[in-house]
Amino acid sequence: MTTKTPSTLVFTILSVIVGAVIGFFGFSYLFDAWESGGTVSSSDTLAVVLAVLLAGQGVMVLGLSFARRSLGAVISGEEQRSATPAQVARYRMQGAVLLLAALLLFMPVDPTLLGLIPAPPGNTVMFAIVALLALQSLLNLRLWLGSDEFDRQMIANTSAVSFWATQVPIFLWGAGERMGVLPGLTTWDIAVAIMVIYLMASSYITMRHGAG
Amino acid sequence: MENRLRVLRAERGWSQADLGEQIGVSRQAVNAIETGKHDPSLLLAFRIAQVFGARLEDIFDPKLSSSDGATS
Repeated sequence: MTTKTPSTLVFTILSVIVGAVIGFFGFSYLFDAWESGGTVSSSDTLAVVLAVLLAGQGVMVLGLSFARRSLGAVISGEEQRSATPAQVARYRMQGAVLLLAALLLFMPVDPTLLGLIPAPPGNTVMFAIVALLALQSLLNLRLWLGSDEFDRQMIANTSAVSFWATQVPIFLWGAGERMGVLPGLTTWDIAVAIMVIYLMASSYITMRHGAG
Repeated sequence: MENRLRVLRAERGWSQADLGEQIGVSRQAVNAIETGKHDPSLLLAFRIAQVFGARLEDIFDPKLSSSDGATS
């Protein structure tokens, strides 16, 4: 059940604005790359699109966590109920996880982060990715430990669906590649594809359980 | 599994968030249980029964048939 309160309406409007701004920067990057004649692979394009979506969500969730009343309204569907400190902390962690996921997807494509920093050596980028992934895993673990049984059920269902939806196409592609009827994939191609499938499965399970 | 959660909650004038707070789950979890999209664990079911001061079978109806091994 989704209840529309003034706070949730404001949140929806802000979400659209934040999404538009982040989308603008993300897609500008892709258009610049295409216009400058550079070859942007399908995996890189998908990774940037995903990073944009995740960053947008992350900013919204993190921003919402700083407005306790609005957060409370979004969580409870009741305008007068402020979010508890535990709910605020949880949303901040979720926001951080989403932003880290966006960064992890974008860094291999553009280690200069849209020219914000000078191009670092590959080893440095790799070290940063490992460190950020470790931090993200730690936050994910804390989120899992603080989840109720319904959240855990949805995570478990998402894992089951995405395992099946990933294993089948990868096996078929691998067989086709082995027989020389399909082109080879890189590990990066597969990693991005797995991420896309996982997020699609997550959205499907969330909608199916009415937890959006 | 069918249940009378929505009716019992309405009788007490509780919102889904109110009930969720008392049994330690989110409003979304309460909504999913009420709409039959999530079957609560045994522990959560007992917690719900305790909050309403009722027996499990007064709240939840698993609709067991004789082929499921029900004795009734």
